[in-house]
Amino acid sequence: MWATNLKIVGVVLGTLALYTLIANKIPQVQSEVPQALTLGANVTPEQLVAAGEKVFNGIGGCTTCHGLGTRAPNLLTDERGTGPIGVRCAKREPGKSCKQYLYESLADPTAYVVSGYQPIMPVMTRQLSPEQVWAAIAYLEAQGGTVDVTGDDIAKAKQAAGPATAAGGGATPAGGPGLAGGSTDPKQIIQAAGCLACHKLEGQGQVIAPDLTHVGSRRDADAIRRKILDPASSITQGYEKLAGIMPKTFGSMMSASQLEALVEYLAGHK
Amino acid sequence: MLPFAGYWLGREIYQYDQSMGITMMGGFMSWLWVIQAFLIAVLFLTGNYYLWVGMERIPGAERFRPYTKWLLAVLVLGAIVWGTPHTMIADSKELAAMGGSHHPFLGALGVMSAKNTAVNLMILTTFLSFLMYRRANRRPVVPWADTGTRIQGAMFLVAAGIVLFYGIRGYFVEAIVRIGYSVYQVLAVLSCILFVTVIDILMARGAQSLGAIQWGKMPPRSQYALFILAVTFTWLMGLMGFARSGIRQYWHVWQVVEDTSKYAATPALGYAARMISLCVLIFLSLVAFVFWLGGLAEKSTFVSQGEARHVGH
Repeated sequence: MWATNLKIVGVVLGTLALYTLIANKIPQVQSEVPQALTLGANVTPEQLVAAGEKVFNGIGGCTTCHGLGTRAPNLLTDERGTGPIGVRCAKREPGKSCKQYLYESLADPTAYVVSGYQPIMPVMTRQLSPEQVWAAIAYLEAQGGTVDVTGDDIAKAKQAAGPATAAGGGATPAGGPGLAGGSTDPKQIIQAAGCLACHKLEGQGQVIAPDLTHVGSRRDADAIRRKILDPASSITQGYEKLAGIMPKTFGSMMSASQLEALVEYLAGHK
Repeated sequence: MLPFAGYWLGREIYQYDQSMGITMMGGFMSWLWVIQAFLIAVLFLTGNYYLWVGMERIPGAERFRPYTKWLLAVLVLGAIVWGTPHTMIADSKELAAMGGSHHPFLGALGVMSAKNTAVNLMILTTFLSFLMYRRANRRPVVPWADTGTRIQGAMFLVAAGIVLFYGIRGYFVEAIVRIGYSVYQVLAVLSCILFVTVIDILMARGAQSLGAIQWGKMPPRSQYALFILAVTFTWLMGLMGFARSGIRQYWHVWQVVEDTSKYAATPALGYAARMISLCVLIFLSLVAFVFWLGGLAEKSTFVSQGEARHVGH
């Protein structure tokens, strides 16, 4: 009896040990909490690249699309014989250096869309701090190219973005002036938030995302507010493929009065 | 039903936020699904093994024995396909060595089309094993027995055909369409199981017995297989619990309530596996304790024959 029981215990412990061993033998990847990135004026290319790799694989969420090679171009490996991104970046747009092209890709992703792909990339300069943006650019340049990002680029970007953005993340922290310098003019908010990069409104903008010209006839003010604060809360029929693309940071980029002004303005578009 | 429920949950996650789904399937959790595939392969193989061993004590089951090696082949091939990784987290050197984010050959087997096909064929195979076990010592005597068996065979072939058709077609359509194909595949398999079972029940009416099951003659190795099944199933539930909870990463509520404290890091699979094993061990110890208590209760009511005679005097 005891011998049988011991055999059973042996089988149970052996099975558990086997599963635990296998799970410990595979590559161990821990999901880290993103840390605030501080890079001084004398930052070296190596420091930038190391920081950029973390942004690329972590908070930037770049691998979500660029790592798969089906939603967006592969950046770390060859893309249709043009080499990794560090090799091909300077040849993408005539007259634009690698650094300029990569910055444009992050700040204004619809300005140039690689043939064969959808313009689905969000504006990363709104989601990342200047340090994170330039570190990511340095990392991408290092993929077969030469890193020419310097501390000056970061300082200039901080200056251009203003004190609120310079303090931390790309989204305006609570207490900051908000989008468009805190203006409650909905047209200025729409312009500053870059809504027209995807949406069409009053004959302007793109038609990648739902047309907002008559948004008030299909959504009331509550639904529009909810959609801005939580874009995943509802998906317009026919746009399911773009679910998850709209940035989720608008709620933290606008003051309450700006949000209400924008909601009221859009709800009025019957 | 469990694979179907899993795919449905995956579909919901993707619909809620694609980046969450991709993080789960192709991000830092990608290796978790390889482990999951291994565990499910163990479940399928052990479950079928138990049925095959169980047939050894059933007179008449020997006529099905030649088929088991083919069933085993389908299960092993299915397990290999299901365990093929699709997108792994890799650094630039590893990507360069592989020639891209996917393996040039195995990458084609690591996609959902191949995996759904593999698992559905494994489910059909397991059902076939069960059907043989059910029929082992019975020979149908209803006049339409041959026709019924042929219809059952045709149903298996049609279901397998549908599964293969959508599996192959999935390579030529967009992801959003491909996800929907899993529903057709599962429905084909479930329908086959349902209708074949109904026919089998009707066919078994008044069936001729080829001999009684030799109860108590089950080889001990089959019982160890049952323990492996119990451990694997419980461990798998723990692993899926980790996937469900860990996918949030450093968010209490995804993209709504963030936790940037140092305690919010999501551990790697190795650490999670040690915790899962500990939890499984505690759970099984409690189950064993309950059985031990139950045994005590039985002992207290047991009266030996000698004692009974003594009491009778």
